[in-house]
Amino acid sequence: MQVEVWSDIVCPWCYIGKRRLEKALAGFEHADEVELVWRSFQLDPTFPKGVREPVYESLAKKMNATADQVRGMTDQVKQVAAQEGLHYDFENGVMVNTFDAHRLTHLAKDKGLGDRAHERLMRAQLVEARVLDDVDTLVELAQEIGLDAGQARTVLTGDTYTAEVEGDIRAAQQLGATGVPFFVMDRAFGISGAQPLEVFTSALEKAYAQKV
Amino acid sequence: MRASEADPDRAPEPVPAPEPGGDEQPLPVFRGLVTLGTEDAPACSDGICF
Repeated sequence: MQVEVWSDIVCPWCYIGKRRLEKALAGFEHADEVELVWRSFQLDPTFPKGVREPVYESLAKKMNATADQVRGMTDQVKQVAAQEGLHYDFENGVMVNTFDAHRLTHLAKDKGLGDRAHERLMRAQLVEARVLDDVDTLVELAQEIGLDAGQARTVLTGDTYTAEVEGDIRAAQQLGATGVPFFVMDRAFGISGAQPLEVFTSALEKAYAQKV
Repeated sequence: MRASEADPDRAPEPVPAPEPGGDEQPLPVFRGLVTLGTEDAPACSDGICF
């Protein structure tokens, strides 16, 4: 059984959704038959490469609100994340274009480290407020994931895996997804957003029942 | 669970969506998929998450 997850590294609800999926899988008796496939998605592909903006400032511009208003809006997601053991740091967070970070996740995927890559990069962005378009930072994280530093740097300074990232985004669009997280089970069931744990549990059971 | 490293090009062929069962009301939002869960689950779209 295949579970595909479209996610962006800068997406706070994606990390929450990841935790809930993991919990559902932990309680799913056929979890060893589940192949988890991480797919790339960019929330804002138009965010200029090379630009770094404080998260609150970036959201305020996008929402035509003040930074204080945006702080208030983020309270809910911070509270929900905390319930999942994730302590987000938006105060120091920096918004960047995530395309290169996604290319790195595809290198990791090729090495059997896709899940570790998404976990480490989301934690770096959302919890640790690291700057994820900085090559040195990404290489450091790549090493933590278990990747070869030289290979990671080669990927990051070139354009390898561009087609793979674009292919993932195109696949999400073809399915009609406009936001993330987006979960698809065996190309039969779709789950949009950070749904409650019970939804993931039920979806795994339904997808498995359909398969056998 | 196996962490996967499947290529997008090797993704499984879409299968016909199953018929909704029981008393649930799946939301037919995505092409070829039965959508599970509630419509108002939090998500990020167009760079906005809140």
